[in-house]
Amino acid sequence: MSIPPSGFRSLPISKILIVLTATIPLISSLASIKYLYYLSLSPFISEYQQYWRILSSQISFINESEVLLAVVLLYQFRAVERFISSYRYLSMITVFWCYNSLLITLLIGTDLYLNRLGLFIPVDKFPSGPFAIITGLYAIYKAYIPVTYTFDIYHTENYKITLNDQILVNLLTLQLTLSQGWCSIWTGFMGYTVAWLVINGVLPGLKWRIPFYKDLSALLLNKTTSTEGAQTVALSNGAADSTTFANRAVSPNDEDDDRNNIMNRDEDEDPAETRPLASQFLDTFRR
Amino acid sequence: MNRYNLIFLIIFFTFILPGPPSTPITSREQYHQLQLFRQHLSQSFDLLKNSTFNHNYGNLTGYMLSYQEALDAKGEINQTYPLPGKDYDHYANNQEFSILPDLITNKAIDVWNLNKGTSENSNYYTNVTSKLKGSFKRHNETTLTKLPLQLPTYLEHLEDVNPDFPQQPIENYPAAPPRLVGNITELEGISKMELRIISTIEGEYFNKVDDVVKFVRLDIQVSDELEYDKQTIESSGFYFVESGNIVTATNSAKFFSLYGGLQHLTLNERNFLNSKNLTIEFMRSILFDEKQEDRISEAEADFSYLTSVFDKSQNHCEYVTYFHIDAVQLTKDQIKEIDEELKNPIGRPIDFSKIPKINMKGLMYSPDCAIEIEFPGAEGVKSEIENFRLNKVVIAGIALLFAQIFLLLKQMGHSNTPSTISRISYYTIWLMSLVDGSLAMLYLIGSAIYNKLYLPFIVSAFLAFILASIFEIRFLINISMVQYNERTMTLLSAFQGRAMDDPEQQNIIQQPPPEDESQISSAVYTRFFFTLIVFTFVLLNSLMWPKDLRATFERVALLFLNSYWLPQVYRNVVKGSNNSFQWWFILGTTIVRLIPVFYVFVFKSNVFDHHQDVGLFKLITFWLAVQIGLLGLQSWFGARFFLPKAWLPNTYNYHPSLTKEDVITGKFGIEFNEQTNKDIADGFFQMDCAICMDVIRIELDDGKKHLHNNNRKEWMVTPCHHVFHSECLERHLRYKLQCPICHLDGLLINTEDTFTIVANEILSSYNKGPLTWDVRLNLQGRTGDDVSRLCCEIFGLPITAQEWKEQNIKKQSVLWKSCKLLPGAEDLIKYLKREGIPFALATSSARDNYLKKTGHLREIFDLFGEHIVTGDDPRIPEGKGKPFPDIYLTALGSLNSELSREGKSEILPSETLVFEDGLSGVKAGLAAGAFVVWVPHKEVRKLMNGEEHQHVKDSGVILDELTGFKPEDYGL
Repeated sequence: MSIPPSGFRSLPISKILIVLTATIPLISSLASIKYLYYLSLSPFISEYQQYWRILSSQISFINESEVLLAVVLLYQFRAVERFISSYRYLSMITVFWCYNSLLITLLIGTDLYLNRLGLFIPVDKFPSGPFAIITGLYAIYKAYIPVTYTFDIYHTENYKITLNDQILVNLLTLQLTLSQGWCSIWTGFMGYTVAWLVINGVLPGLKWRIPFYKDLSALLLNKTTSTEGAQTVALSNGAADSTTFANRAVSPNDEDDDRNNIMNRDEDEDPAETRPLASQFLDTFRR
Repeated sequence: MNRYNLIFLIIFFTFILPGPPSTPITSREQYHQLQLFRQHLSQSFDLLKNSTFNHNYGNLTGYMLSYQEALDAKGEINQTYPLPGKDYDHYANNQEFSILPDLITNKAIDVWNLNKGTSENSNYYTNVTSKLKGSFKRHNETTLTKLPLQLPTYLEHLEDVNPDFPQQPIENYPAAPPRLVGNITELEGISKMELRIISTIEGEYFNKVDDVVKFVRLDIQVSDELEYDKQTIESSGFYFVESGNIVTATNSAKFFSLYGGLQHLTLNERNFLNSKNLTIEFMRSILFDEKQEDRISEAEADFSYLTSVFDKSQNHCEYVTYFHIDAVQLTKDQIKEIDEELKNPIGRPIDFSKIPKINMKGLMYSPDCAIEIEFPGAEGVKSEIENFRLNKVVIAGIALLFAQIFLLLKQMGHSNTPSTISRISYYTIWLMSLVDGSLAMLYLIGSAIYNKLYLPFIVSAFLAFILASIFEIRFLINISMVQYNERTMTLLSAFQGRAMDDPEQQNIIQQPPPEDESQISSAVYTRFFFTLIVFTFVLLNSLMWPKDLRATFERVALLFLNSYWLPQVYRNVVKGSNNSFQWWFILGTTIVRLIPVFYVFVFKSNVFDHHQDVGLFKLITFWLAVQIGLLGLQSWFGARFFLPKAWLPNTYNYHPSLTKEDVITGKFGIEFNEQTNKDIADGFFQMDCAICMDVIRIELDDGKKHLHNNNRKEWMVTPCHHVFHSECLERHLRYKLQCPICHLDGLLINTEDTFTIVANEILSSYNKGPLTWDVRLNLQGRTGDDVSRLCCEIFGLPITAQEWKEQNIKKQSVLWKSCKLLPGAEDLIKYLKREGIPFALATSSARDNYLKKTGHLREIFDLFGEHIVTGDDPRIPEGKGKPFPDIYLTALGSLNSELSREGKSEILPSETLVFEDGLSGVKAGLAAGAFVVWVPHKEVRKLMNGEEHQHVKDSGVILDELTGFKPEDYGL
């Protein structure tokens, strides 16, 4: 569970996501515009034709416990950002969001068609909040972040439960997924499936990167990247190692980072030195 | 407690604290009256339950007489029941039975459109809660007769029964007839109405026939055009949803409208039955308990309820109103959708700005005052829509508040040093905080009034409050702290920039009393909150003033509150500086504060219902532009560009040209001796800068050669005639706006401060320190070596005690030359000398340092004669400095030896007084058996926090200053 270094040092995307996840519901509640995040077939789509709700419904959670869970989860998922770089992290989130919006649109289209035929509508209500994206991030987390340690809980001498450090993330994700009942369950499942398919290359998008990210980040995250950049590289050093080691898809855009990593490592230690996998992993989290 | 605090508390207790919870019953008679009143209510309720449309009112207070009966008797008749020969078994809508004259009834039928039907596409709103504005016309009917309404006999003397205050009729001065509320004398004017549908009581829904009839309250305010004469009539009644008709009446102890009277005035049987059933349910949910056979609830119908009903009947005209709300071109489904969306928004595609407004017209008639008022039309928007708009405005206001907080914090970050703060005008920030503080108060009141918008209002109130009372006040305190010293100067001298010790000023300038931060901040807080509360009360009061007065007040107040840059322009002139606030702060703040003014005065349909006044907005914008323009010109052409040079006294010149005479006369604290004389010879003079201890090479002005200006800029001469490097002094002034040398405290002379200054200087050069008072307390009174050793140990300095001592002495000796006697010291010593009282000096300072410290104060210290014992005196054993009593005993010995030489009797230690400033000295004095007068440094006093009295107990006193010592008290 414990993933040093703590805090948001050089993790701008996680930081922004958490701040937005917490403040948007607050502001919406203050301005009493929470209803903008509602989405169901009837009446919003079938009667009022408010198609923009497909996008807006994924913006913000509308109830406190969901906001809290999402903030805790995003804080845990910051390990993913450290692992795959901010750039890829944001790109992945965008890809998931696009897929989910597309799927919801398709579902609604189907619903409308079925509705016209007078048939049973399987999915009518959609949850408010980025459930699918959180479960998508959970999928990346499970895929990329290794288990740091396991522990046993003994019931009797012979009967024991073996748990690992990711148990909290698993449980919290489960609770978040269950929080709005049936509609959040299937949305969460959809998000997880989409992410799994993307990660495993079934759906395209793993190598897609947000255009103009460099310019944007230079504009917006200037301070964070420039002042903490040096530390970032040093800190993500081990993470990048395991990325290459695990033979994950690394796009050409990430080369800069890697080169920095290697240069940085040159100063740190002898590149020829080979470390066993276990110590590489452990070093990742020791720093 | 000072005067502001007192007034503040009085205001607080008068206005904020709630009154007694309910009017207590003070006599048996009142109790009896309350019982009768409850009985009366129960009887009336029974009457309501048993009434039918075709039966007359019966024994109902206020409805016992019909208009015809009053007309026949020409008003000379009392409310009586039963009236002999009256037909109680029938009822019809005419003046035979009704309290209304036929004229009014016919008009009412007309208003209610009873003869017309409705079409499919025009329906009536179900929810008509709204505020409406319109006009009114009074019909000057002289033919109408007043219907006499009297209180029930048991209530007639309710006012007189208070035994404590018997009413004394004043004979010679007949009381002016009391103002009759509702006696409308204007022929026409404006009307404001507030229509509210009551569907729940304490959260419980009581209406069973909601789609037919609704219980409404209608408050009507009528006034003349300029609002000099305002009358408010509060009534309650029914809204018939299917026909859009409203009938209401006032209720009081002489007019029991709701108990059957008003129901008969609904003109037909269906309305009668619906409204009767609704009233019964309404009454059961507020006054009567259905489960206990409609027993009256004693908690609700208490004495305060009685007095409120009674008060409403005194000097009030009773009214019956008939209104009709126009149908709107919407289908029933659309109306339902609109109401549903307003109640529970989910984002239905409804454009609320396009839905029709509520239009209402009708009439109002007072039976007992015979006044007939017509309302040709009043228009308003549904309250919920109004609330939505208000919500948006409040949210925008929150954004503005955030912007202001952000700007202010950033500016505070820029002005964080005394020199930057001293350029900022106190009153600029004060005006801003006054506006923000009153906004916080108004928001707070708003949150109480608008229940639906509680959250945004309370958030705004919070933000405005922290902006005003935390950030802005903090800034004000900082400014006061920095500018405290100069405020004791006359404005003239600040303006002229004269030297502090200019002889002309000597009489005017007085040493400010010592004041610390907590005193200043509490003064700023009290002053601010006092002003704020007074201002807010005036503001709230002004809302009730007549229109023209209000408009004038608004103009004057807005212009005043928007003059916030003007004090800064003045401040710039006084300080002669031209960069006070950052430009983004000036422009940002102006825009943030102008946006609300723009909204209120330029937008025609603003939520505050303020009339459009573009002229005033332009005036304010122009006024602000002028102020900013002035600031701009000041920053380009200098702060005093608009004042003619001839008027302008010179600002103090920090870079004067020094002449040889200046140096020789010792005006600049320069010791004149052979060495210095030699230095002067070649036109230059060398001295040490007390800050960096480096040499200042001063080029002297011999009147012949033109001095190089740049050269002169290298040193600075303070108004107190101390010379430093410009760079050093500027760096120092950034942190403390005082001369490093002469802001000098100890007992007789202020060596303690010089010690602190020097020690801190040394400590900071090793990145240690600062020297805090708890450490100081330990060091006080110790000998030089001890102090050096302790300092090095406590702070872990990488130097030896010897090195510390050397550095210390070098630096201190410069400062000591300018040490001054503390207040009271000189007087005391001279007094003792004059009276021939033997006295001696015992100091822990080494002889050397003692001489350095007091060298320039010879005339005083010479008075001690030979009776001076220093820390390194051979008569004192090694390691027996303070707190051991030896040093005092030695001094006493010195005195006694002289006394014995003169043949006088010796002094015992118990007969002596010891004056001390340090704790260890006090201990030493006590150990020697003397009575100790302790004059601790005020910082020490604060630190000891009341503990100091334990140290001296009965054998000593503690004084704040030596001036507080009264020799007479000790028989001297």
